[in-house]
Amino acid sequence: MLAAHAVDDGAVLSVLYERAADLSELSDDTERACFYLTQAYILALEMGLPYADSLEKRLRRQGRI
Amino acid sequence: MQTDVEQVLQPIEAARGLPNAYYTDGDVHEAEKRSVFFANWAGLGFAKDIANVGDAKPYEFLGLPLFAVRDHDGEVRVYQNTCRHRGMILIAEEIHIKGAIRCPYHSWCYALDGELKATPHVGGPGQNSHPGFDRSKLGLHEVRSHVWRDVIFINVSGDAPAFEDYAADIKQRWQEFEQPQFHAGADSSFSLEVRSNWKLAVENYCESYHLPWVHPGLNSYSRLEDHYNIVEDGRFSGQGTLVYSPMLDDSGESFGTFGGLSEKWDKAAEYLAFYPNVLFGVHRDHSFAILLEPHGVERTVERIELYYAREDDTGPQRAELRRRNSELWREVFEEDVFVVEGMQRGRHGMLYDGGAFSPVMDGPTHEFHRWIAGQFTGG
Repeated sequence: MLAAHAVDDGAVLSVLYERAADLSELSDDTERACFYLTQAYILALEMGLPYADSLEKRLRRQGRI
Repeated sequence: MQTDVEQVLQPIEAARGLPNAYYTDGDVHEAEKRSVFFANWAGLGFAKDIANVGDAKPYEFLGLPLFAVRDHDGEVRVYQNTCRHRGMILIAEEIHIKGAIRCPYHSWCYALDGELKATPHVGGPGQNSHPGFDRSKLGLHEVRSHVWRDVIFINVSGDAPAFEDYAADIKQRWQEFEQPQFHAGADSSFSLEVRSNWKLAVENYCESYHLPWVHPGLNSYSRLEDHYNIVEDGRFSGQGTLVYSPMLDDSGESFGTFGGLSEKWDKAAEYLAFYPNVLFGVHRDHSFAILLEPHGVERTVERIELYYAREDDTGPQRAELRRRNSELWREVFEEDVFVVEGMQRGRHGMLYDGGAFSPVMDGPTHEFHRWIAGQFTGG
């Protein structure tokens, strides 16, 4: 993830953050999951990636937007 | 006793030009930002530089950080380049925005229409909203803008007349040129930096009096008596020629012409300073726009862009002809640099009183001075 940050690769970073969110959810760590989801959502939004909408919906379901 | 500005407003025979302070004094320059540049429609940049949806370009407009972006409707929009959170500069270089404008500091994100779309962690980690935080009121500050002849004009104060009214007279004069024009890329762009106040570049541009002395090459085909002044009580002044006849190529190759022009334009060409800081030229086969960027009181960057009447003249088959045309104009504008810079140095002469005008030849310059003076006096 740090390598992706270093080269400012938003698309890759977004995917990595979403995976981190998925793993946190599996561990029942909602707070951490929402942190990672937020990171994934913002980067997807910036990059104009279509799945930004699904990330936004996940955050809304958690009452985070 | 007349004040300095009242002297400027006199009929040309009795008038004096703007006082030295208008060219050398930092306080006057500061006042000019608001009275002249922010209060009117001033040139900021060129729409061709943000050709595609999402293209964005930052500007420093007399110290004001701005950026222009092409929105999803294909329109040019201009915003203050400042995040509504901590005031961070949002766009540092020319970029293509794929989705949202993300502030590099805390990642607040804005849509191309200026809406604040997302505020990550604003309510704490992983919490992107807060009951006491209304992001609908925190969109980007938009600056009024309008594109004409590819120039992005802005009215920072927001209270100038609508652009169509502001430019009605000049648009009427050049109504026949209200048609598409085409830019050919790098070979049709160049810039010059002059050690001069921006107004001297306007003044030199809008009169033909200096042509036989500063541009002696013109004497053989475009004599002084072939030129005429364009002075109207409005927001522009300049000069025209009755003998435009480009000789770019020994073989007789030439550019295509704009459609539907009246007979006048077979030989005529006109050069207008559209106040405050945009200089336009039109010919039957091409046009140009010069944007004057003040970089302090005594430094100006001139950005010159050439446009052609026919899209097929922007292709590789016309590259050599375009190169010659660009070179011709570059030579002319470079010939002007020493007088513009010389007038700037001359304005440090404390005994200079703004100068007397030729009642016949200096009308366009006097008109510009009158307009500038009027911006300070509310006239």
